Amino acid sequence: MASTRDGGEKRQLGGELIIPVVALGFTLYYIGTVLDSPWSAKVNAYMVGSVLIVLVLAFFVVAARELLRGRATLGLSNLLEPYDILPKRIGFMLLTVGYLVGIEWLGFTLTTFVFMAASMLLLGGGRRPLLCLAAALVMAAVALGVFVILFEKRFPKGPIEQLVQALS
Amino acid sequence: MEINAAFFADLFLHSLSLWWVIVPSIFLGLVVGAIPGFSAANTIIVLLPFTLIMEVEVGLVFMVALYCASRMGAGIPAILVNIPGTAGAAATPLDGYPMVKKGQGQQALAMSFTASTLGGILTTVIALAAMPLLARVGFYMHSVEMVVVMLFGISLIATIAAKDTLKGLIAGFLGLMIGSIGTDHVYATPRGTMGFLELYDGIPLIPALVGLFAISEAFLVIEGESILSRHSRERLQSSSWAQTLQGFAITLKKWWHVTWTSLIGLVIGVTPGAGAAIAAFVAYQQSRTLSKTPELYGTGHPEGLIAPEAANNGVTAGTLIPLLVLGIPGGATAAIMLVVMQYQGVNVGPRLFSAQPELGYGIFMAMFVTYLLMAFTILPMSRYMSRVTLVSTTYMSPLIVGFTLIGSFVPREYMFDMFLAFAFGILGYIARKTGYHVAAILIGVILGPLMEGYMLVALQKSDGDPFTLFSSPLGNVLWLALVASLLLPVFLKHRQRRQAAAFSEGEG
Repeated sequence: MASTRDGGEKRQLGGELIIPVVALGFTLYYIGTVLDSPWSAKVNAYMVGSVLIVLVLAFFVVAARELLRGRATLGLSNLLEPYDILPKRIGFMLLTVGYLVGIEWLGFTLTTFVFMAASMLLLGGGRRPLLCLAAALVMAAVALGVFVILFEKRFPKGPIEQLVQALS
Repeated sequence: MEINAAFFADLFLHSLSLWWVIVPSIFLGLVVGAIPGFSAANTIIVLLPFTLIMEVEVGLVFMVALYCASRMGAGIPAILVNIPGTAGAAATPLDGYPMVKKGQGQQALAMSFTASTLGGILTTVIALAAMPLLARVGFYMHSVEMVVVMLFGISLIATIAAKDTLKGLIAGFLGLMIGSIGTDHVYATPRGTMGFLELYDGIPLIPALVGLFAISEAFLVIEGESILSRHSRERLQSSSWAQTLQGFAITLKKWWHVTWTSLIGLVIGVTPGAGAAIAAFVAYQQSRTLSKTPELYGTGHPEGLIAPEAANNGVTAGTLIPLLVLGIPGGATAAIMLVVMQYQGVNVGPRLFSAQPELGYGIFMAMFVTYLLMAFTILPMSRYMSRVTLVSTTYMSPLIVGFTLIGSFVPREYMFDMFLAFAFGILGYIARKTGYHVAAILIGVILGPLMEGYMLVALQKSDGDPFTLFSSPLGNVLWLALVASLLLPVFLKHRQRRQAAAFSEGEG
């Protein structure tokens, strides 16, 4: 999956820099949270954190050298490619966020069904809608049966869970 | 409890009595192993909600059986359609696929299954016999040595498994930092929690696990409408049943080849980070080097198929040794097993074999029984198992995301954990697309709090002297090995470049 240089293409460093930047930012934040703490809380921050900072700086040096020599750009294409699938991928990610937010409002079973059906329709380009709906329905029913009814896990409740509760 | 022949006989019968878990797990493992990119690790993650509510013994047997069978299942698409189900099967099509093109597809499948089963049985028996000795190694490992061993594990994953050592190290150390989130071990001071009370107990491992592996994978596999191309689908649908018994017989005749290549897998499996892919390629390479007919390799030569299949199944027993003896996972699947064992309150390490020998040895016995049962169940099923590769990602990706998000909620019943799993999914997606090793991040997350604990013990014993980390002879040997593991690849690469330059000058 990693993608760097293919043939004569330049290395796309924009995507590769995300993890080191996140690592550096998080390490500095972490060290900031232990500055006034007892020594036992600081040990890991200083020992592991300092090594991580050195590694990230080394990566920045390598990246800068590649950029200066014209062998790399700050492009993000290795992260975003293939572009034709990008809208679907972003849509799928947004649907996942919608699932996590919506589950508090609509309850576990209904949101699971809506998420499954919407994702399958999105990824399939709207083809075979009945199959998508049937697969989503089966998945939501299995989830309800196994996790809510059988194992009594306390997922957020919605109309379906309340109906099941009223019937039992 | 005395560890003798009667103990192992009891354990064998007990493992056999769990056939009702093992047999379905074998079929499931074969199916998921055959799905490219969807490894045993991912399956165990997807089925984590079930594993967590099972009894610990049943859950572990389920995971072990699934792990072994998926290794074998990965060979099915590798042979039939030239698409390895997992990285461990990457060397399988080198000779397996040419056999299919020669019309020997079923023979190749039979050879692959027989080599895998024999290799798995042999290495499991060796691991089981050596375990009483290996378990003692753990007693020589104190806090200082454990810190170095954990760093060694991260560095090995960075140098061996990751393509770019620097990126591998960044991934591993980022994992260690993330694993340190939560209150400190002595005064319970919160660190790096971003104000979330849910993180005071540390990073919950299950959301990290499902996010880094399964959710990121689901976002990736949508790049293709189907896992297989149209051409591969047609090829898969036209495979036949011929020559199965012939393949079985050829492999049995080459028992010595199976033996030594599976031992390569066992040895490589013990090394953290050096997983089935490396073992398979090393075995293939050695097999070709020592062969009297090296020119036949790559053209559909039986030995070229037997070697990687025996080796990658030898890895399964090897990977569990550092996990159970030292509590250090050697790879992704072992890391997941560790998470489940920790959740169930099982303390891995040398004491596991004295405190709960039936569990410590039982895992290997379950592996042995799994391979034994596979020998009887797998051949008749082989052809139809490969059809699972036809499932569309349109249905597969939402199922993976939905089921794993639900799985991340189950242990603590916090909505926060579902959001955390998604966040780890995004991190895993970025890591995969940009060449960072997600297993290194995960192993860092797991080892982070453990390493901090050992480091604090070492420093408390020495009144805070950091040089205590260099005070033990065994620890210093490990430090040297760690430095060597980091420098050696750089040195070899440099030498290779100089030789290539000298060669091209000579040509010019």
